[in-house]
Amino acid sequence: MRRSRRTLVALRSGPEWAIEAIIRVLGVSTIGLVALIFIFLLTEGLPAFFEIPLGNLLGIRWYPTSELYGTLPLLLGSVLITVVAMIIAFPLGVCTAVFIREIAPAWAREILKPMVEVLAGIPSVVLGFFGMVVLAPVVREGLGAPTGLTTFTGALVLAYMALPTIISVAEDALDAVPKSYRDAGLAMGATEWQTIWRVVLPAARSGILMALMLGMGRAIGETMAVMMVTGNAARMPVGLDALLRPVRTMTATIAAEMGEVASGSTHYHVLFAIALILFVLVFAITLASASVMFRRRERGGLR
Amino acid sequence: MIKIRAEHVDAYYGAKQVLADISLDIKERQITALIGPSGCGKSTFMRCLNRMNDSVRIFSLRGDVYLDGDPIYADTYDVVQLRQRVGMVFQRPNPFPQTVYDNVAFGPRVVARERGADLDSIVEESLRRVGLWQELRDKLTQDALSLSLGQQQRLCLARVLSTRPEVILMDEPASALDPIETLRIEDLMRELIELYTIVIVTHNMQQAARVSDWTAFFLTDDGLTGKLVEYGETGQIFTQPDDKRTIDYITGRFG
Repeated sequence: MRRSRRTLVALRSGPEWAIEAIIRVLGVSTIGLVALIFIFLLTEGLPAFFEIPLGNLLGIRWYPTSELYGTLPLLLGSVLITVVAMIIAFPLGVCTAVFIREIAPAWAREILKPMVEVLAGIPSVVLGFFGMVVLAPVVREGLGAPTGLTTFTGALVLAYMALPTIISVAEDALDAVPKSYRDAGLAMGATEWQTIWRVVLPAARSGILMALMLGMGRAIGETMAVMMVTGNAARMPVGLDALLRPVRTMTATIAAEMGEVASGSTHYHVLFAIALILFVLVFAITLASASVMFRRRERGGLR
Repeated sequence: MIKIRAEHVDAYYGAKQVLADISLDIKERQITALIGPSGCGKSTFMRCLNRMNDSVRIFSLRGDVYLDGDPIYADTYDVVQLRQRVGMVFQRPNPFPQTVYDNVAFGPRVVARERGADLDSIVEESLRRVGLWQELRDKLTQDALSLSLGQQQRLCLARVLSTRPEVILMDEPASALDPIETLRIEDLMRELIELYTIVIVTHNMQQAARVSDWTAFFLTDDGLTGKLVEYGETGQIFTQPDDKRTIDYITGRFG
């Protein structure tokens, strides 16, 4: 097999070989670029771990002007806001997907599907602006928070931003469930709803899990909208009121401070260290969703 | 005893008439085979008997179908209950991508709301009845999709039995199976008619001749509207049918 392919390549004419070579170079260079970015992050971020003690780096105070580089509040801020956003967006997104795929009539599906995709195209700065002007006052007055720029406001905006991803991936997963499962459920005397809940959703669960992962990846990396609506106070988001207090995420910290920082300084290196943490986090989420997809393929098709 | 009676059933997909004036009595605890070439409406007719066509938006039906004398297309008739009483096995084995146990327990759990030990005994009894208990008693937590096709189809049959139906509709239940599995399904059918009424759609003449007590021959003249050509005891249909088209079909001249 291997040998015959090689003979075939050798027999190919010039242009054929050139086209293949160009495609190969382009393909490899994309992967190469990602590797380069990672190496860049490493070389700029790793020094932070040697320049300041680990205790400081993992501390709970982020005051770069006083040499306090505790990244914990930023990390927890990112995690908290992402988790809350997912708690809001995941059920909503899955329900919307179920509605679009299972309940809405065909003509409504034709309208709703592209609309969901349009949602994904709204620039995040626009959503951030909307959050600032519309959501923040609602949160301040409606929930009695001291300021409208809170974790919760950020989570709401993030939830909205993750929704299109969750909806379309979950919808694809539902779409891949064979009609024969639905028929079997209905023929057993299950109602439409019982069939959706007990047959279709379990059958689509790996795809739905992937929707959650991808939505999470989308949320944790988001910067602009989050920066605009969360208040950006680098405090530890602990306690029950953390939701209604300002918070600062890793992404917002990098975006806000990178422009001000002296290149090559400790502060500069720490910002890259944060980027490194973020990279690893998103990479882990992507890896997890890829493994879900892999398992699904192993089980034969999109089951 | 007549279990199901169809009277002058006309069925339509939108404006297209797919069944014309089908009248047929299905006898209790007997096997009735519906035969005929592809597109003759036999499957459509069978799906009228448990109202599976309801989910097709453009489907409409005229005429009446009675189960134990009650019109199942009456507005007040409970479709969920109908489908518990009239179960269905499909052409391709379609177990849910869940464990063997959950597959069989689905009906009792979801529809009849059984729990715990009752559920266990229903699962065991249903699997026993289709001859899968010995093979699968230690594999109840295994994914049903990992079974062989024949086992999957018998599992689907066990899943139907778990809701204790009165009628079982089988839509070419053996067409995806090898000859040995096919024979097992046929043997099962002969055992099951002690308790159940069975209607089977099949393309396989020998199968109809082997298993059924009654045979209904469907045909379409125009490739669209299915009609009932002849209905009678299987022995008679296969040896001395009244209609020439029946002779032509069962002797393999077309179809």
